[in-house]
Amino acid sequence: MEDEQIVRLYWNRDEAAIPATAEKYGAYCTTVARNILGNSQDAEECVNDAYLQAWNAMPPHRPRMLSTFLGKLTRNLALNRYKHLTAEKRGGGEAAVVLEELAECVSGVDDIERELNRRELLGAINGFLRTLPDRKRNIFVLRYWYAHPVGDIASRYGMTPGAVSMTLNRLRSQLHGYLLERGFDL
Amino acid sequence: MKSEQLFELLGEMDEKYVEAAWKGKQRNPTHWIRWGAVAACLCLVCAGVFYRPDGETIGAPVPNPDGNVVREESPETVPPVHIVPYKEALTEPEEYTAEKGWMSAEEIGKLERDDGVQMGLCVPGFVTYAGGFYAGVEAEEGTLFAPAGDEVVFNSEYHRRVYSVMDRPDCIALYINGMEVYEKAFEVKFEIDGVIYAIACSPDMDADYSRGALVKTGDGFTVYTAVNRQDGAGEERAYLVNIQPLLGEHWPELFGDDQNYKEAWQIALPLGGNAVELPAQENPIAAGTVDPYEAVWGGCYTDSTGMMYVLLTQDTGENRELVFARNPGLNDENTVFLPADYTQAYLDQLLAELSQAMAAGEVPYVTTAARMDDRNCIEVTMTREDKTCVEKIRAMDPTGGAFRFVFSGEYATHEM
Repeated sequence: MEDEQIVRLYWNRDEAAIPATAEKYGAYCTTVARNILGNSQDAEECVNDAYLQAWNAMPPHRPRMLSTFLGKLTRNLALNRYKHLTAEKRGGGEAAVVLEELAECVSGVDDIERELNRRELLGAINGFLRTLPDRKRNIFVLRYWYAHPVGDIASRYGMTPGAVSMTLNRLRSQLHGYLLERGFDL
Repeated sequence: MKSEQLFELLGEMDEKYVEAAWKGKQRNPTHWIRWGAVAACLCLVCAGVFYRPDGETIGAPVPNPDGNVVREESPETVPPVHIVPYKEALTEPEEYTAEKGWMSAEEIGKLERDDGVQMGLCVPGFVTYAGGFYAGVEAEEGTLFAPAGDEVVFNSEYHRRVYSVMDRPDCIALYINGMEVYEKAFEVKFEIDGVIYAIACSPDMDADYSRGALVKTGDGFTVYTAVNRQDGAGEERAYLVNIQPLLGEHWPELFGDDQNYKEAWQIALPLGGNAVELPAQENPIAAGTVDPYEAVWGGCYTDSTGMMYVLLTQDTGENRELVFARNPGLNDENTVFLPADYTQAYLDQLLAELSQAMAAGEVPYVTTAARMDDRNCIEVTMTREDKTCVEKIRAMDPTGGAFRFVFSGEYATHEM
């Protein structure tokens, strides 16, 4: 089913929207959740919550891109669940490693004032991504948006895991430098 | 800021990148496994295609304006270069197929995929094809490309559609992975022992190549050997050139805020119609003029926790500092150093030699050969335990012990 038709189902409050979403984007959302949580049962629950949030959001929201809209809902829910599980000392997945990697780019200090620059900072991050060749950008996004395991990225691109890690290392370092140059000392 | 906050913020990045990353390079895993071995063999065969077993060079093909590839005239009677269609190796669906016979650079630059993602830019450039070097893509009518020609396998990652250029039989252009035509507008030429090399084509250098030993420095550029991370150094006889100083001097606008030019590292290949094999004495590692970093670098890999393991042939404080200096992002906390018996450059050299022997049919029972960074060796898979074959391979390794043999006839047959 086309995305537009699925969105129309949501807008018409037709419950068929959920199975249609699950059929087309179930696997996608599950991958996003499982990457972060590393646990199929938790991931499944997250995906179901994402469907519910999608149901609540549409209408009035009309997503420009249904896949990434659902992916983003799932990602946020999975991250929240990850925090909850971490507090309870449970949970596996890639999130812990991904967050550790990203820690290189930040001070680790929670600073409310900097929260005000969020929109500008996001602009700078998008600016950084724009400067990257497609392949590197995809590798970065697969790791830091999808929390894809390094090994999976490597097999996707026919690279060795070491080469992927090295590329990610350089990209993090470049991102850090790029943001620093623009006054974002995170 | 905390890393969780940054991760959350990254979740807000432009959706088009999120979608493109998901769609880009999707492979059916089963399919990939099935064809992986074939592709690997094919790559190794390709490595040998450009060189005759007796070491003499083969004339490189020159595309004519009709889009056909013909071999350049050569005083030697040598077989034509075979071009292996990419699709025989991997049947990954193409993201874009040219429907028009002829199109201008400007038109290619404006192409969009079905899903609306803009294709890469297309500009006149310098490219190489099977060792030949072709510069400039200009015609009176503007920059024009011939109909799609053959696709060639350069390595396991990139397939490049070759276009001949209208009215310029000495030129070709490449359309890489159905997505991008790489512009190479920076002319750097240098000579190494009588062979002239020139800047050519370098898709995403960091991922595929690592810098080898320092070869020479020129005016605004530095030349290193190129070590192919994916398939061994034997596949493309190439040099890696850092042209950052040259770019900064002549094209400072490239380093503006929004045009941060990332490809300061370029691949250089032999200039001229023939693929020229480098004589052994030109290898700086063999010649003893080794970059101190390459002289100790044994490779790297990560474990499931993301910890980086770096192998060094001499694990000293000085060498560790060298590693950190060359690899921003690595530090004492995220890196574990391990002892290595062989440098990566040495292993790549062995792999190149073995690839050539495989291509020449000298080691018939070998199905695959690969550098294993975590074990600091070259793993050779053979369908049967043939002593002559094993001895022949061991003879390539003067240091000794760098090859590990796996005899798996059934497995290999199944894979093929």
